[in-house]
Amino acid sequence: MNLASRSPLVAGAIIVLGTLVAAPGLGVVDIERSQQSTPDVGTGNVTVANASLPSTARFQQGSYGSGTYYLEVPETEVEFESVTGRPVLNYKLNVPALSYSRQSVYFVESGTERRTLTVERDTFPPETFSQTEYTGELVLTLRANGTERVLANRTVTVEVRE
Amino acid sequence: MSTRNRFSLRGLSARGSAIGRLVGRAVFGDRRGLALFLGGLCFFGLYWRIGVFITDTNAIANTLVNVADGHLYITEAPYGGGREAPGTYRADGRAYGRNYGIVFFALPVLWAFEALATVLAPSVVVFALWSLVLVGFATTVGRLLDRDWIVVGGSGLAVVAFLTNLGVATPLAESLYPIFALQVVTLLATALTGVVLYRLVAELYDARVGLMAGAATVLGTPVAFWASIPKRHSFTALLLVTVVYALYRSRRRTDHSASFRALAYAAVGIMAWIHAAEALLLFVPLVAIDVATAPSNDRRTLGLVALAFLVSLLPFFLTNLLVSGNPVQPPRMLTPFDQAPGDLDLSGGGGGGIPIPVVGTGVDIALTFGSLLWDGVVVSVTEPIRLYQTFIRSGFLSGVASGDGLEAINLTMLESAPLVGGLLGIPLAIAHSLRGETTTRLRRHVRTPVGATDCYVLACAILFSLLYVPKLPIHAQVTVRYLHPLFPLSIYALVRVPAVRGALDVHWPTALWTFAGTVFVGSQLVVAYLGLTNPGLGEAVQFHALLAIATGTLLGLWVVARSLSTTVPDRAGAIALGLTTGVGTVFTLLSGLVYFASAGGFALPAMGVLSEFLALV
Repeated sequence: MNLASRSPLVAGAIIVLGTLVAAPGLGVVDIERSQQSTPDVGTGNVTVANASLPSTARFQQGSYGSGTYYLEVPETEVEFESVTGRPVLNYKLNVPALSYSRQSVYFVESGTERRTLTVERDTFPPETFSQTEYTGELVLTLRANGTERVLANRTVTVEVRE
Repeated sequence: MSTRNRFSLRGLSARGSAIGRLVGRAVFGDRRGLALFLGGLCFFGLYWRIGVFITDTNAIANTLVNVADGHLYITEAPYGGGREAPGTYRADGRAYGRNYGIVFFALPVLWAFEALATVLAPSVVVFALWSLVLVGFATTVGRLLDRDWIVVGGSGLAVVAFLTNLGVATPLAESLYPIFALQVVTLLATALTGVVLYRLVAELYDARVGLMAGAATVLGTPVAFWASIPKRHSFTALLLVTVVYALYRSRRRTDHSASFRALAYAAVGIMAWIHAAEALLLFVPLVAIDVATAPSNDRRTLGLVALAFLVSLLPFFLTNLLVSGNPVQPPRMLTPFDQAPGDLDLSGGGGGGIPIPVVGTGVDIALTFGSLLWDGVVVSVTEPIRLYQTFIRSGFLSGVASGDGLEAINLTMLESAPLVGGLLGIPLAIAHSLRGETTTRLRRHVRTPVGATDCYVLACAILFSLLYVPKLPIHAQVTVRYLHPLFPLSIYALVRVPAVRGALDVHWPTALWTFAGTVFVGSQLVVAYLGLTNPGLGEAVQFHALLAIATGTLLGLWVVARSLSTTVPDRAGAIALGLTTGVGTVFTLLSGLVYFASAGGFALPAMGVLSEFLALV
């Protein structure tokens, strides 16, 4: 028997054996991701060292004939002085003229030093916009221990771009 | 163990492998067919997500759970919106599902998987099976080409893949077992679609063109996109190409002619169990063309054909009898479960059907069928824009996108399979072969085996188009899935064009290298470009649409030019064919790994890691 005729059998045997060894009953391979104990979500505190929220955002029409307008908020990096517990950050854009509001939620672990934030992309039908730009507000809030506190906010110009 | 015992064991295993060979030959034809089958499965596995991609799957999965419990009606509905999910129907106050054929095919898979899962880690079983298929694929290809390094390398790769996946494996929730079972039968059906097309084209021309046709279908068309999504469309595609293949074989005067004829009708019978209206679509042109062009219509042959058809329809009749009490009234003809009784919606819940009543007298069916076709004609003539938006260019259609979160993700046939662009040359090819005495040549052609096959393919393509065009374009299609069976038929039509075959005959290595380059290099370029431009979902999908239109047009122009003039280089055609197939493959891969990656956890966990790394949109 040469290598070529033996290798499929050997490979098959390894795979079958591996599957048997990975059986949960044996406990050799643990594919259940062990959940480390973490504090409850929405507890603790953060102090922000630096959070420079962007001053512009866009309603950008999709390329390649995809038509839809997308909300695009530039990413921003927030630096923390300290994080304790497992607080929740809400990063929110309000555009009053469109009665529009959208927020992205971030969970922060204690010990985190910086985090990149953005308001997630959203879609708008092309007929939504009557102006070339809108004034909105970006607000970063902390939610912990049942209370909400504004960490940073900034007025933002949202341009409509084709 | 005594010598005698060992002999009898050996005898048993010899008989077993002889039966295996017999079944293998019947299904795959030869080792090339087997290689195509295993290769297709390996490819689909790369982007297989175990989960629900489209809401219609919920109802089928609920049905499977209940059938596994021993009854056709639905009491327990763990998926989606419960018993009110689109795709459930009311009979006698009970809820029933649909696509019972698929459900019953998935049942043994579910049982086997549940049995394995009692001792083994189910998520490991999934990628272990994939790795074993890869070993089989490499071994088959290596032996076919007589290249030991393929066997050794492929086996090694399978082990490495297995260990890599094991390293990043996560558990598979028990609630996903029924989804897994449905996906497995869909994967098998899809891989077989390529095999059947290979066998058809190999019979018509040669094995090489056959392999390329089969491979192009499972790699470069939306057949691959829907490979692991348990919708009826994959099964319709398989059964339709089976009818085409059987019809072709039955026209040739051999000993097996009658058996193949019977097979054609049996495929229609099984189709009825899955989707009765589409079975009618396959049936009508089959009867007309079969009876008119059969080598003989003697009583014995017709008896055999009728018997096969009747037997294949038994599961359909029996299921209907148990569900509605009427053997010819399929679930789709019942009231959707979320509607009040008497409020009959023939279009079928989940927006999934054609309102053909399969119940009633022959005259009723014929009249309704005819009027629906007429609707298609009327819509095609009065609103040709619908044809344009279904076959050529989609872009942003507000009425359609509003059903898909405003993302322009519904492509046309050309956009989802640029190979279809080659069909631009079909009218010329037909005109070319009919030069002069049109009617006599046409009449003579129809009487040949391939002529009858052409007629059937053309008839089915027209019927599917006419019946669905009044509903199209519509959301949640992605690749015009209502016309899904047209993709393998398009590949058949493409290889029927002499210019295409001529290019592949000589320059097939060029086509293969171009394909490989497009997939391995082109996909990286697309990823890099989209990574830089950070597109939305609709943008990314429309980017692929434009790529497809550009390359598909290139292929179409070449086919036309080459059909008109012999000075046009064949090599260019081979390049265009490789390119269009590759562009289709890249879309399927990236849509599975990136754009629609959230349809579930990856069967190969390592691909899930890759997918997270690639997250572009």
